[in-house]
Amino acid sequence: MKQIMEKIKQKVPSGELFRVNYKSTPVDYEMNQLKSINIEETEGWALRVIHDGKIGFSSSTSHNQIDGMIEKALEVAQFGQIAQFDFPGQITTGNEQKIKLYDESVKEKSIENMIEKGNEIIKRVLSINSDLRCDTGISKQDGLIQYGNTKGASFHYKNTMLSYSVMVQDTKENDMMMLMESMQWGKAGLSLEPLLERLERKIKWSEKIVGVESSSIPVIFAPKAMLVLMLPFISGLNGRMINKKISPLQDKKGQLLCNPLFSLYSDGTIDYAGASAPYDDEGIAMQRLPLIEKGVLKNYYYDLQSAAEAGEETTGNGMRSGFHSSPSPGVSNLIVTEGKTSFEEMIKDIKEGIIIDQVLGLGQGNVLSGAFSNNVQLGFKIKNGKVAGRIKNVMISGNAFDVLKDIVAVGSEARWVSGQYCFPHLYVKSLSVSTNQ
Amino acid sequence: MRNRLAKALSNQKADYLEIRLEDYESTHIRFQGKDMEKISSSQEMGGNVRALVKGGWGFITFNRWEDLENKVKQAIEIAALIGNQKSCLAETEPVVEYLQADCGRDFRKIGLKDKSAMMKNYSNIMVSYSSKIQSSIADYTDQYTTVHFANSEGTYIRHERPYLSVHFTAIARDGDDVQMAHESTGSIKGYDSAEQLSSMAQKAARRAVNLLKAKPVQGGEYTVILDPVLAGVFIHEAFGHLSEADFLYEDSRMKSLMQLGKKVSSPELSVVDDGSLPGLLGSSRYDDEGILTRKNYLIKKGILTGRLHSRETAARMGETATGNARALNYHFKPIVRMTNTYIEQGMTSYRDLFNEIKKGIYARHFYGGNTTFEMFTFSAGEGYMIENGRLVEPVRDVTLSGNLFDTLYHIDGIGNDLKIIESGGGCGKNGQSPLPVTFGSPHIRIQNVVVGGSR
Repeated sequence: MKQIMEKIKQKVPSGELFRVNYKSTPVDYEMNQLKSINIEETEGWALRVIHDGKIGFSSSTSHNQIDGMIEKALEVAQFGQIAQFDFPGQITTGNEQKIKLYDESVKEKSIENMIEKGNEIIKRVLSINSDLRCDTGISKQDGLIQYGNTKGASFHYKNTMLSYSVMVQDTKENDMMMLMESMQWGKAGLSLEPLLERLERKIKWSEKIVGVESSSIPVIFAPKAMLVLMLPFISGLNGRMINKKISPLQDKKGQLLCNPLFSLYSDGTIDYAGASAPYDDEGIAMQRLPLIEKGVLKNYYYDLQSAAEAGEETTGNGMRSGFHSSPSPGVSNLIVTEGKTSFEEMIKDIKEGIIIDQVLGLGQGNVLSGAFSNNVQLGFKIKNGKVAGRIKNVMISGNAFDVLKDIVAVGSEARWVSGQYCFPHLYVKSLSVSTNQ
Repeated sequence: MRNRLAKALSNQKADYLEIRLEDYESTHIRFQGKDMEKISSSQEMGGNVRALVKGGWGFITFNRWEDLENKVKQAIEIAALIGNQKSCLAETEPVVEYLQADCGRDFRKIGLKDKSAMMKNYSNIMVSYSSKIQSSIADYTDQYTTVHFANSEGTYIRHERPYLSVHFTAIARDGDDVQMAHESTGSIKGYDSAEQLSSMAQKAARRAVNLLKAKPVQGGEYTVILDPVLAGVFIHEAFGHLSEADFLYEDSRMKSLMQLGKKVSSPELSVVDDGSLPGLLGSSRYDDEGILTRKNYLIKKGILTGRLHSRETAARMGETATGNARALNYHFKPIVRMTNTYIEQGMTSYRDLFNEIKKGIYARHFYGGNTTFEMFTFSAGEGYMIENGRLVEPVRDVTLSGNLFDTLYHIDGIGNDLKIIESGGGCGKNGQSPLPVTFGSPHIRIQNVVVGGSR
């Protein structure tokens, strides 16, 4: 890395080099059987330069191609965006020690041990009902991220990730139930028990199919389904969307936009969480950034370039989606603050309503406007304070910005979804439900 | 290269082995509004080894093309941890082929200056369409890939694949109301297909502005007419994915649900997947297991007649391989995928489909679609209310949803205006997205479709 940096310095007055190196080992079960084992190694290099005031970017999978990368980045820079920022002269230290991301025992986990876990999951699911189909995957990953720029600033860090995913399917003549659960964490040793218990409970709730009528009724969003409501915030709070004046949240800083029960953070400093890191992908320290606090819009999120355009400071949200893409504003771990009401209390409170556990068509439609319209892939009906059974062929729709004004309660127990989102249940007064029953 | 791969594959202890090496170079340009937002160039080299031992698969991916023998050994080792049954692959004749790209003007010979000037022009067309256009995104991607594929049965295929896509998003705004419209195209026919897209850019802008005037649709059950784009998305998402045999072959209940010979719709409906159509985005001579692509009927005159296979699913179900094992790139195993999927031409003129509809929706274009087996959902990019056979007013946020088997039966009109759509998007499955595919259909009419919306 150092030698290559020297080479870059000779040819480019201003540039930064970013390198990732990952190894992941997924073990996959299909239809209750161990089906495949993969070993996946990825190496990637990215060079961003500022030349004659403009940005150039190139990437490659090999350090042998560094000369080609330099040439390409300089060529591209002739047509590039005007740089409003400069690379950081030094990296704020401290975060490397504070935030824990690496667990040697994840890296050292044996394939045999992963197979054992897989067998355990399958056995447990089949013990509920031997006719079920279960697909499961267990995966370990370890990575090394390195950064250096021509001003002499540099950093590197290592991380690990252990993931479990389970899909359970029950097929009957003209009916299919599909249930998904997952767990992802940077540290080994987390108990699978809560995940398995959730599966058991939902399989039981799914046995009976019940009808709902088209109407507007109270709804509980389970943590997994919360992304339906959060995607419009993720795009609307993006500093670049604000700069381009296409966000409906523009000019709303300091305003009460949501129910005061609702708070939302982008937080890259949580030990072992999927999107945590000491620095963002352009060398700025990660932080806990309030986006919405007690219903009030507090901050938009920025990378270096979008912050400079807006005349703001970067919020440490310069993210790369893979090494071949240059940094843009992105959220880190997205956290919705827990409330005071348990899931059970929410159910008890509802005379007639539904629980939305999984949706189809996430992000399809006009996300920016806040509008959503989704098929409920897995949902349950509540009747007189009790779960009555599973619902089918139901659609929900509304506008996320309106729904967040209409909250009755926020769940007292948040759960990690996809390793990057930590959401509680959310109880909403009324939502439009369409069905053909 | 052929010898190098053959050497790495020789004298190894596995039931089946393959190596795929891939290198590509690509360019990406993005304008947001009138400004250049991103321009980048990348090159990538990578590869994988897939080994089959006693029915278990081991799969290794890497970026360095070194030490292939050892990578093969490693793949065999992990496959052996799983194998506990007889390996099963459909028989095929080994082939040796060098496939050149047949792509008109090669985009690698066009300078960045020309490419970015072209995209700037498209951006200006969108932004200057109306004062209501707040912003726009114009995206250009080209990628030239060379794939070397070799297996332990003696097949060697060297394949060059040029791919290019252009996407337009127009964003219109009126106060807090923000509406978007997308248009895109994808092609394997070279740079010519990126030029002359001015009218497509204008169309995106026009649709976004029109959506500002449209009312949100009222939820409920409607008779719906789908345009060829949306009908194509429907048949791809709702039905096509169910025809992919990797979901079925080990699942006896799914198999009985998709029993060949079963009547699934009116006799007017036929559905085809055909990877051998010349020059289309989903086409190639061979699939990623070296099987010749071909025309496969999935539904013929209302009867379930076929499904899509890899070599393994075909052998396990006692059927023949169909040329549908595809891998997005070297990071992934080939899995069963669609290619070019369409509803065949019907008898009714498009105008006549609207007759006798008292209250319905004409849904056009698409935002996206999704499916889990029998349940599907997809969103229209544009919609109109139909009253007494006539279009009365534009509506928006039209999302259709339902159960596939019910919906197939409810198709009661098929137009005679088949159109195949080459969009810049693609298909996603098991994390492999976007895989280039096309879909198509004539206009179709469906009874009793659930549309989500306010009430």
